[in-house]
Amino acid sequence: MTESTSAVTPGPLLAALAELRAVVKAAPLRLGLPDAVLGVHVREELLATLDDHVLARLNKPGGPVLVVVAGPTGAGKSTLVNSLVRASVSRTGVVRPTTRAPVLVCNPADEGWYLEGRPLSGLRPVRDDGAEPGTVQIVSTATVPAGVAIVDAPDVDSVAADDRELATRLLAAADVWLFVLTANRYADAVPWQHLLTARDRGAVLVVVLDRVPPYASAEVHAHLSEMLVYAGLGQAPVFTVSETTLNDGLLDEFDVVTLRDWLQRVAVDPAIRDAIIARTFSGSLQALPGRARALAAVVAEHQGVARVLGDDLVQAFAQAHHELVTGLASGTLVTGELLRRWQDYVHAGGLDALTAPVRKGLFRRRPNSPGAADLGDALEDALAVYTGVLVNRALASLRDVWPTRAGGADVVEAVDWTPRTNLAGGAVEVLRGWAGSGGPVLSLLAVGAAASSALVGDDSVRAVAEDGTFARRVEVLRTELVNRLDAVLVAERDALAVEAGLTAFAGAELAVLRAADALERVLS
Amino acid sequence: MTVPHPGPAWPTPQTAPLPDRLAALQRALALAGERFSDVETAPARAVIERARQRLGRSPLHTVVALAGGTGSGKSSLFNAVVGTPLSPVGVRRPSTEEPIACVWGAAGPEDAVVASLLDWLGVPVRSRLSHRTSLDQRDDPEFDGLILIDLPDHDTVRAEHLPGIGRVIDNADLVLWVVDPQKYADAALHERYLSRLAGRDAALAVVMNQLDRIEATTAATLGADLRRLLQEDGLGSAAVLAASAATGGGLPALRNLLVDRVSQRQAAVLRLDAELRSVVADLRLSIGTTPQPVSNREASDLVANLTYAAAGEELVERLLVEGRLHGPVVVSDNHVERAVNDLVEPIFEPLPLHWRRFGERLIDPRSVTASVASALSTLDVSKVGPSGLRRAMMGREKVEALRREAVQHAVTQMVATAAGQTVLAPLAAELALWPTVSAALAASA
Repeated sequence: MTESTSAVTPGPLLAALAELRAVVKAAPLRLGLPDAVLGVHVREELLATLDDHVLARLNKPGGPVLVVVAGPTGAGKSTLVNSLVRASVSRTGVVRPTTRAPVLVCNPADEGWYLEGRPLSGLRPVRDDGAEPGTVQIVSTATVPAGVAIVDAPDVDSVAADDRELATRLLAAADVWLFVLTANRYADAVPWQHLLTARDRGAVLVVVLDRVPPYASAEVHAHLSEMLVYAGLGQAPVFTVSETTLNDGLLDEFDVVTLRDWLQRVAVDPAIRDAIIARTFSGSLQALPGRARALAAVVAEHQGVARVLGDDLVQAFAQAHHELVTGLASGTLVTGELLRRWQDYVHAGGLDALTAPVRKGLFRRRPNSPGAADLGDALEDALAVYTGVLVNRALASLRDVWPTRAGGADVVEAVDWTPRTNLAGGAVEVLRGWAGSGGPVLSLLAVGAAASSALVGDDSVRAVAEDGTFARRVEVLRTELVNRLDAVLVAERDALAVEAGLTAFAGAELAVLRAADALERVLS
Repeated sequence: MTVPHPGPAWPTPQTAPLPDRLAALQRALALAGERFSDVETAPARAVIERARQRLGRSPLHTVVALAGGTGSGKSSLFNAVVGTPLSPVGVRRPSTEEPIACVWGAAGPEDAVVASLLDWLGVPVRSRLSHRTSLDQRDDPEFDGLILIDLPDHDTVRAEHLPGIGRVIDNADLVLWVVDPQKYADAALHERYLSRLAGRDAALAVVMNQLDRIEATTAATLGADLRRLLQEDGLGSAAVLAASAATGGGLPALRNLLVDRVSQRQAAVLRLDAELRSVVADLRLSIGTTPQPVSNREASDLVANLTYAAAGEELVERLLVEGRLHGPVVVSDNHVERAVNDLVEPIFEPLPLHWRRFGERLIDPRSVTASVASALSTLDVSKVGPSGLRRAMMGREKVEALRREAVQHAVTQMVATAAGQTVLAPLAAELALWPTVSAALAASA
């Protein structure tokens, strides 16, 4: 057990880490926003650090110091590894990228650790050189001292995204970052991002400056050291390898001897080894809350986008509700076919039936009310069509407003916009029971018959509408109708929210922040 | 690309000159108006504007940009082509701090037209050189009219260089991208720059420099791999050259390419042409497929639905009794809106989303309601039905049936007329626009 792991009690630490892992893994980053790529990268890096380094070291302490050799394309990483172990173990080549399945080189005494022990970054250990993606080839050789294992990572700036991800995962698992830069590209932006990451995690960093032309050695070395100091990486040892012709594909022994000595010292001295492991481990652990908060910031931004789109959705359906209420009061429903059926019904003495005793069942089935059945059908049809029209207006307004919102274009693409013919709440079923409870006259008054432009002059209708005993029941009926249709609208709205992927964001930022805070409390 | 529509006969794309095709693109944008979103038309508007700017600034000059990453040897290559050190060549990175332009020919950087071109490209006045005067060179008439611009490194840690690079790359007539055997597969190079140049093959040449650093046998392998990556970037037919600024290898081929472009004096036109093709191809892909006209079946469904919205059956009864309607015709707004939606939504479905919404907003259901109501209220059926002589020869029931049929027909006709004016005619006009936009786009391709 290393110093840092014994410094905190494992129980609460493991619990806090497990909680952080769960919320990080679940962090929703699905909207096609500009920084979605950044968010996914941060999330994957965090998961890799947790799984491949922090939790792995906590669960199974000990083992060799893992040195991950990383760098930009063509930095000569494989040649360096081959030269360090004086054998051609890693594929080299001019065609990029050269390292698809990484190679791990270790002493025969350590190979069991990787072959049977803990997996490396989710890679399957193999002995043969199949170069199959998802595998790591384990090569054991006595030229590597026991206690140190060297992995040749893919290019950090490879054109192949899989390679970049794998390099990131391997670096997350590393105890030592051995970063290879070349003399003519040591100022490139992408490798420097990785160097700054190493600094932020407090990882042990070793820099190899490769392919240095003899005439430029002093100037380039000085400038790189200056850049490292300026970046807060002044502690990192810099080894220089000059640009020479290769001998059997290997560098001149003179160029790698100091680096090999450094590895040898690490391997033979358990105190140095433990100190290196502990420093990188503790750095990783201490950096976790901050990195989780960086993820939370991206999640918060996405949550903000989802909230704006969700507000639009709520607004559109609130407008539908508003139109529903005003439409029922204004009599626009009692037009066309419904108006005609109502007039037929009234003409046949339907208003007199109001005073007759109310029977159970659907009013349109009452044998004593001529025209009631047709009136009931027309009422159902009018309400169902109205509800459908309101939903489609809401959809249309969202199709206008969402494309103007950040992240809205992708959501618009994700949703099926064909008009809703079958409403989510089943408007017709909802209405059937309602109309039966009120009887035809009061139901029609509840949908605004008295306000219909064709009926405002009708004295008999007005007399019924203004009768206090009926007015109360009409009001109750209308409230009930609005409630039922609101349920239909809400069901449509919520189905659309799910379809648009807006529901996953609730509380996501807070969950990540809480887990980060909890871990920080355990660590302090 | 073939476009499935019966449009007017346009000249074959290969023969139409650039200004004509730019005008066709402008016409397509003007015709489409708000049917495309700003995002959709931004690249097209950019190429039209770029063409206006570039063709107004000495199109006979050839602007060549030398771009590349840190340490790929752009400056050395520039110097090798120019024939004398011009850009500072240093081992310390990054070395090129701002774009440097070298102008060949009688019209030097002080010439008003050339200066205006360099202003537009964002090359600072202090970084403009004349090949003839500042370098004390023998005349190089083959390069007369060349403006070579050496750019800062695209992948340097000093990110403030980047906007200036983008401006020159966007506007240069030919981009020479210098890569080296170590870094030709960089993500930054391909993802940030080259894949964005997709379709500009004719205006791009990739130079693999520093070939002196690798063995001759591997050069061919590298070249093939570079071509494969360019293919993936959508730049399959870009020129790929090999060179070594250090030994001079490959420089004659590079020089020939430059001489070729410069002497033709149409690199600006070719580059704009390449971009125009790419932009138009994208627009033509995104414009969707030909919307189908309203079928007879759909039209009669619409009339039936509108008649129902006006309670047509009852109107017939009233008309049979009264001859013409005395009370108001109260048409259901909601049923009209539903009927219009049911017709319009499927019609615009083949179009891109923005255009689809434009089409769906075209018809205001309220105006349809008003039109149907007012048409029906003017209907007079007092003279409709069998005439006096025929009535006398028929039974009473037969007369009633024929009269009912005639009144129903009259109501349907009235609704159909209103629907034709307020729905079908504007829809037909809208649908007729698509082929004209599509044809204008085809003419600009």
